[in-house]
Amino acid sequence: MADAAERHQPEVSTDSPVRRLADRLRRKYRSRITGELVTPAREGRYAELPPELDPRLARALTDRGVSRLYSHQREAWDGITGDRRHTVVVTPTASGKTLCYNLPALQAALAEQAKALYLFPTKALSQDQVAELMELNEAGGLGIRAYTFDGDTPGDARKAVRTRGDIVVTNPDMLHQGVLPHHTKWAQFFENLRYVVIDEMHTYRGVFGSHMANVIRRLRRVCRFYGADPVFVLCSATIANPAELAGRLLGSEVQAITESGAPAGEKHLLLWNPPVINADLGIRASSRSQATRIARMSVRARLKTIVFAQSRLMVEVLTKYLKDVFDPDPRKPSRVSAYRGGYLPLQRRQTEMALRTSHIDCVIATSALELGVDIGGLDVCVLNGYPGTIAATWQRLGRAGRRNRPALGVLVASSQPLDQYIVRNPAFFLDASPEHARIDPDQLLILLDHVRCAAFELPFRKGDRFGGHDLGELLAYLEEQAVLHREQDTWHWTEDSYPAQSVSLRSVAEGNFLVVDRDQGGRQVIAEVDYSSAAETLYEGAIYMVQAAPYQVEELDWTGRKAYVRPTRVDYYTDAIDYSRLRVLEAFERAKGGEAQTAHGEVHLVRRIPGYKKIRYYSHENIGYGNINLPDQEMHTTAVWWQLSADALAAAFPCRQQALDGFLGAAYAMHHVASLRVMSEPQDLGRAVGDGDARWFATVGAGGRGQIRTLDGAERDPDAEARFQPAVFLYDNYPGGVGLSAPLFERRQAVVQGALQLIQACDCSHGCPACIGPILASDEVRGFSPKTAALAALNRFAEHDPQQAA
Amino acid sequence: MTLSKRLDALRQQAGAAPQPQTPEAGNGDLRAQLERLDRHRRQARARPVRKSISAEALAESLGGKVVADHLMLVERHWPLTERHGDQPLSLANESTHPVCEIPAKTLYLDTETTGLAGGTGTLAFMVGVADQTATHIRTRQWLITAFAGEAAMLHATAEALRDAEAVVTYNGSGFDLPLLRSRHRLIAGTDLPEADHTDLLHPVRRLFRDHWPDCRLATVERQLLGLQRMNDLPGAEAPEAWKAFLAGDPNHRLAGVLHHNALDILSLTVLPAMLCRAAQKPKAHGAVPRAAARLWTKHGNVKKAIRILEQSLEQLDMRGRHELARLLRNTGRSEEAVIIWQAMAEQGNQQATEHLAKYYEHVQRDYAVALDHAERLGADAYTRKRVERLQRRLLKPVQLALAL
Repeated sequence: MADAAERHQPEVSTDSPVRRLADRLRRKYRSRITGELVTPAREGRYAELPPELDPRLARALTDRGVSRLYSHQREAWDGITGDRRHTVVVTPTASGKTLCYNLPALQAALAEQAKALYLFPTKALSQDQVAELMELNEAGGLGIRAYTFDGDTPGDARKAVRTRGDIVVTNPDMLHQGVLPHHTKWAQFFENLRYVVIDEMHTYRGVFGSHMANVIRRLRRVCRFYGADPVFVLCSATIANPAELAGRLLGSEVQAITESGAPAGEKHLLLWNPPVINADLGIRASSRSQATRIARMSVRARLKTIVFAQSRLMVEVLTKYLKDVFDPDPRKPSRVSAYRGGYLPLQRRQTEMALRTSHIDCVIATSALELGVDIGGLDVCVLNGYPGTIAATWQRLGRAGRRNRPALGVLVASSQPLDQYIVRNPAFFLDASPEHARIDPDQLLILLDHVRCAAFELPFRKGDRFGGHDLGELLAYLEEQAVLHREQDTWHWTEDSYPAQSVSLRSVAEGNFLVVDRDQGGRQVIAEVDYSSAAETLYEGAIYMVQAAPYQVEELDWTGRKAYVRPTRVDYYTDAIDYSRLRVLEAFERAKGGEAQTAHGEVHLVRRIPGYKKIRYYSHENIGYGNINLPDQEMHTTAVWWQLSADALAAAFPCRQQALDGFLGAAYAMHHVASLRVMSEPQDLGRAVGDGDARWFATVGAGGRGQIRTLDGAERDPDAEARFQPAVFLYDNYPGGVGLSAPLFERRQAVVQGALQLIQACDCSHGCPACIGPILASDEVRGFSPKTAALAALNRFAEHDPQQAA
Repeated sequence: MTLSKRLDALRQQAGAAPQPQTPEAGNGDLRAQLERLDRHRRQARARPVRKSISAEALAESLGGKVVADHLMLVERHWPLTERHGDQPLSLANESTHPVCEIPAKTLYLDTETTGLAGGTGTLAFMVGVADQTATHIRTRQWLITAFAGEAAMLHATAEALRDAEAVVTYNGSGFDLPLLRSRHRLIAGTDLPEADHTDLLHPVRRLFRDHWPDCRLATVERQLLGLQRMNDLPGAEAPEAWKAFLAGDPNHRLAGVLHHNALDILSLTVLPAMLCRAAQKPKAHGAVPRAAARLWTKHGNVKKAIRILEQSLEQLDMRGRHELARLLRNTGRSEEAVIIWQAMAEQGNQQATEHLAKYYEHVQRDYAVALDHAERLGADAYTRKRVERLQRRLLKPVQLALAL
């Protein structure tokens, strides 16, 4: 078998440039590589085209050079068309997943004029998909009508889509707001609906996934009304529980196809920890410098390279560094390009095209390129920082790799605790299965939202089921709110409103900001920024970067949702200062464990961005401050918090200052452990240390010590406060909450224990960015250890609780 | 098993440890949980529970009769001599050309709905239709007294539509008809019968948009029919009235909705003829002459269109004057068109200057005058070409002379 594989891969030899680069990195930077993995090349496994395949379709495939299928494609065909089983296909990037659903859909359209509905998480992906379908369609002269239906579909074209489309491609938001509430217009379509395709299934987790499951409940309910029972075909990147997630999304059993028959090239993966530059403080070189270095070596070796960064800002910074090297002459076509959310669709299409046609050597991207946007094969993938989940890591690494060539992935750890944990325990990452994607379709508020939407679409009758809670009680509740009217055994919608309009599947605030370039006559929109990040990126004075070109924000029209910018030449970028203050509105649940009290409840968060720092490129020194004058942002959300009784506080810490430092350090570690526990991105969860009455909140000041401040920024003396009862808050970083804090309350001991372990296992002596956050050199001299203080706080939180023994 | 126990069990299946119950815990009752979580999003608007009002009682108070379960009908006959605003209803018999064609069996239709949002969950609780006999306008208004009456009302509406040759509405193409179609599909499972449809909103917009602040039906009535609605229940409040009735509120104001709807459909019957008059004499009715002229042109009466535009020449805006010049040129009256263009060109209108340049080049073949006009035009590629061409043409005779 091994012989056969080698015979079939003559080009994979030691002189492959990817292998040469991997070997060079291994030789030169042995101490930085903490783990590695080589996956050998895999041969393809094939199966014949199904005999029952429509001859026109078979011919279209053969014309395009497809004379046989990969084994998983055939397996999918047999399960979907033969047994009519809901199916989820989980195979790597570029393994021909789309054919798994295109074949049954096209066959059904050709043979029986049956319809198919395709759902993609974003508009951009829908458009790619239709283009691909149309190619196959035209190649075979199949005469299938595939249309996208989204916000951009012109009004006069919509009717044609509804009545004449064989395959309608849309996204969950459009299905939720534009299709289901108008299902009678789609009657013909639903009556003949045979297949529903859900691609990129792994994106439907957490809040979005919980909403999606409810949209699917509504879709199936409407289908039943028209007498249709479509088969669902789902595709997903690798996650631990594809069949389970698919089953939860559908509310039905789903068969999983996980064995790919597609051939794959050899893959090298290196885990990379930047070198320590200050052992006492546990400070390492930045992942940014390391990622740039690896990318430089890769591009110089003429390898197509992708660098993933964790934030839009970091994309711009890295792009600038790499452009400084590879694009010094602006008259020449650029070799380096950035790709991220916020760029205009046209710009993104151009970059995708340039990648596919190999006109660009290096792209720096956020997770926006993680999804199935077609950019062709790349050779090297550099991850600047751990993406947060094992699944996303493999998904991004999968961007490098072509069928018959080796590929290299390098995961460069940042100083974040999670990153450090991963690279120091390579076995954990390399052996671990990807995470479970979890959804909670019965999250009460999400469910209630969709019961409203469903009642608008079709009246509920007694005995109907929708979700896991008692539907009767939900209906009675809505009846009491005068949203529904009960007549005999039927509940009718009576409100003068369109409920889907007020339910956002992504739970993101409304109203994007447009970034307008004043030098272009005030007409040129150069980017869009979503509402939630506008305050911290578009304040007046901010340096906003597009393709690493700096623009300065001159004016921010908050109500008009516009920022006016001008190109500028500066040697610094800006970073907003964030003051957040919490007030407890109500505790839903409390648990006492010894001297600690943990609670879960509703909080009111006020966020103020009072100013920003100017940070010089390369040296990263702080070269100035600016003021920001923006309205406070308020949000009601849910949180879980830990407090100590006054006595315990006094016993644990010699002074209030140390208590404050201890709480801040504990919060830092708990925040990171908690995001692992609930499989969220760290930014989905917020953390704060403050007083539960919002009289003050704590930050780490320039001196490296905790300070307490009022929201106006006035510093207060902890010893002068009449009442001093700090609390660690972890909150859902979305208005209304997204259901993260309730499971955290249930696993409160696991969070505390995990934070304890993280700090205890850390090699540093007094604290470092990998455990309790950065500390100053002077702490050690003063004989004070913030690490000890954090442990003191956590040990008290972890006081034995007979009910909660972890 | 009680719901709270079930919730506990569910939470344990999801990996939660059994919770020690404390007084604050309150995680047992779904209702309590809903109220707590939902509180910040909506005001509790619970209504007092009242006894519902019977269909018979309502029918009696509104002068109607119950025609099916939960469906009442108010039928009235209005003599054509009766006035609607300052116009007689007999206007319904007058010519409507060229605004629209009104066959003898036309149904004028307007609905009152549970909301303005549209979508499957919005329904009509009242359908009002008017049709005409030799001496009267007949109005029929169906009103459902429960959701269960909707099927019968839609059936009656479908019957009326099936009998009609045409249907006239105001904004019916955007609102009333899609809504009825959607509910008919939902309740009856079949498509609503279709009739030729005239939506009067479109000609009203065309004729008056530039002159009126808005084109709501109430504005049309005030401007054209002299109808001031006194104590009228605004259409936007109709959904509330029906909801109040459903909730058993004795002050439900459905009588107001009925009256409002009747006025609406009566207005529909006289409006086509009024719009026709406005198209005949736009100045007298405050209509935009250019729009009136367009209507006539569309129906092949260019002469009439020209006459209308000429009659209001002083008030015509640039677009109107261009339209007049265009019609004159197309009917062989180029000299008159030239006068209009010249007047406009003197005011700096580039488009008129261009027309003149074309006219002198291609019709009069007076290249010097044409060039004079062309040179005043902007510097786009098209104009540059024209200027170069004209210069060449002007030079040609000279070159010929030299050659000789």
